[in-house]
Amino acid sequence: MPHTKYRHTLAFLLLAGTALLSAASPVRAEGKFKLQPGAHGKICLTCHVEFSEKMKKKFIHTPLTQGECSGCHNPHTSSHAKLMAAGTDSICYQCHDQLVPDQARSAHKVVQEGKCVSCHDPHSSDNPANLLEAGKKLCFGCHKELAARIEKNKFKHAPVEKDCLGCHTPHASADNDQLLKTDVKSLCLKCHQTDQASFKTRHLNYPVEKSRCTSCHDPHGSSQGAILYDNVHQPIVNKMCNQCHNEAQSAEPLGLKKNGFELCQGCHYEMMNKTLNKKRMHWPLLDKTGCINCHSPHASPVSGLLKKPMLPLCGSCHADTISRQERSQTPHPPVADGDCTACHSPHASDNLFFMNEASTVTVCGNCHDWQTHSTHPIGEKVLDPRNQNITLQCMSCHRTHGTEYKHFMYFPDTQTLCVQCHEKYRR
Amino acid sequence: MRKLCISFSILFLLLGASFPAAAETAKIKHLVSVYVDGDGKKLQYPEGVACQGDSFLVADTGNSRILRYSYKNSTLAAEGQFPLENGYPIVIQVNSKGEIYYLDGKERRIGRFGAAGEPKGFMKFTGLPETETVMLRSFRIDGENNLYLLDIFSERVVRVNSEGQFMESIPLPENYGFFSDLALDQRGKVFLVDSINAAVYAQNEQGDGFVLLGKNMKEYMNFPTGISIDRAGQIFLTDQFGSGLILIGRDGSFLGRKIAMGWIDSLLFYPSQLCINGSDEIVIADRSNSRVQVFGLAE
Repeated sequence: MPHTKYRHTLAFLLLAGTALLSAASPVRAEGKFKLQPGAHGKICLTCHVEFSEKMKKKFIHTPLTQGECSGCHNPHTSSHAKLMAAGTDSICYQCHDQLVPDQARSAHKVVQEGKCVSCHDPHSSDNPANLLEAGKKLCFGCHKELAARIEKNKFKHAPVEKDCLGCHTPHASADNDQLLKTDVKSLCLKCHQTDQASFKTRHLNYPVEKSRCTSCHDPHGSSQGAILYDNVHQPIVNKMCNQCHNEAQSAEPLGLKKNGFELCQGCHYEMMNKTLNKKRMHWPLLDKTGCINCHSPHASPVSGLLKKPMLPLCGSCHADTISRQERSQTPHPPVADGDCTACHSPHASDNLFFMNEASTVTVCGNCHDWQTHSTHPIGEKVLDPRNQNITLQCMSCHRTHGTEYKHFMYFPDTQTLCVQCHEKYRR
Repeated sequence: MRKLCISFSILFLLLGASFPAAAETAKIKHLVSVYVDGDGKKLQYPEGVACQGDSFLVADTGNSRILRYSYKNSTLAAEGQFPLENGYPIVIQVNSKGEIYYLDGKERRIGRFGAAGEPKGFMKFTGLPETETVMLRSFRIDGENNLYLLDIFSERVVRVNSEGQFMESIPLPENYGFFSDLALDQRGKVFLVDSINAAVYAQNEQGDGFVLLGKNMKEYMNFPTGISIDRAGQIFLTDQFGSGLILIGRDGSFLGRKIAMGWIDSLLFYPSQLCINGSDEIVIADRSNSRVQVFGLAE
């Protein structure tokens, strides 16, 4: 029986001990890092005293207000800089995982790259949403070219002067391009009253409220009246929409009087006649869309009323050609600078590849003058040893839009290139 | 019964495996290159070729002429030429009567030669349902001598008879990039090649439109501009900017890329139109090499 007595005593002691430990644990260790009692939310600041200043700012990141430094940092060790608990490109998404909708139509590049700290201070800020700067100043930190243009504009667009976020969403747009909050038309109509007589008069009674305003107007402002893009098609300047469109009172006022090049030919007949007399056509010019495959019919920020700068414009069909330049070890300035017309006639030509000149040696010689008097034998009288039906010229050795090799050569080194013809030197 | 089942299974497996594999393992062998006409004059930037039996025609674009060659028992022979005054032939076809049709790239009209080589002027189209402009980018001729016109302005393929009388119009599909060429298979089904999207479209079952065959194949080629179909229904494309020959299965699947960029025989430099004859020989207008090359298709 004494054993039984001891057993009861032992069980009592165990139970009492467990109860004491359970009661003591919140006092002895807080959270997953078992902090000392009362240390939670304070212990980091005992060393990181500079944070006392940060904590005085108007807006503090929620984990920090709760003293949860370990929400983002590991206090012991980490594979990431600043003892971050995860990579800087992913840690914010652990809480803010709804920022980019699935299948978003557009997303801010820095958001896609997880560079949240480009715009936000992860600890605190005097600006809402912990932004590094307030309003458009923050956006203009990266979008410098646009900022400079906006600064120079004679005619300002009021919302732009106020804040970019009037029209754009900063992270991603589920349904709209260019991070727009809604589609262009709805966005404009929030402020602009299309039923007013002045609106109708200015647009010559055409029902433009059904159209995309940014086909004529630069939403960031411009130096043209009515913030039209800097390059305006003459019929618009002359307020003669009916040169191309049906009359405003007709059943289909925005319908075109003719399709494709046949419409443009009415005014640009000299250019079109010259073009149509060439042997080689840039075929899209002759399809149903015609000239407006490449040109904006109303106004454009790009000279020549091009829809986009030349490089992305030509690249929208000839993506492979443009991407070759991007991969090229040696940039070819006209291609790299997007000056495609330095070598090519974009409408039509009598020459292969729509070259400006019959001889590619002449085309290249426009920039590479030394090539015309001191070089490897090239020209109409020098036959290509690899093929007696063609002559040696610049493109015999160089692929002008670039290759993965230096000097846009077809082959990895000079020796390999030369022995293509000079076979006796082949090793 | 069990033996029968096993035999059928083996036969099924063998057959199933052989069809796609045939195309995937297809070998392209260079047979001959054409550099000159019968008088030794060099070809200049030929863009068009058309096959007819043991013969083929060449649109010698830079020299404003059409040339005829025969290729029989591994022997090439120049058979004649048809000069065009200031013409710029870029696509060429021949019908069952031996009449030659060519698309003039400058005039953007179809010119004709009779079977005896006599010029018959440019074709006129009659009875078209719309008065809109016809802008031809390419054309083909079927076994009944009807012409299929790729009209890029009015966005349609128009079928006319050999005299140009309208027969039917098939609208081009939505959201295409740019169609450079068309082809007909043995049953007269029309196929289109979209150069920008590197895609092939096929006439739908109803025959009143086109559907995308397979998918966009931009990752495999740069800018295909020529299309032809062999007797087995396999599709061949010339990748002009990528200087290669692309093989596509009947279902639109990418089967392989043959022939590389270059200047020596068997390589291509910005090729244009191609045709395939009854002996499965592929004739390619090797435009920027100023020659035509004939390849054999061996499995």
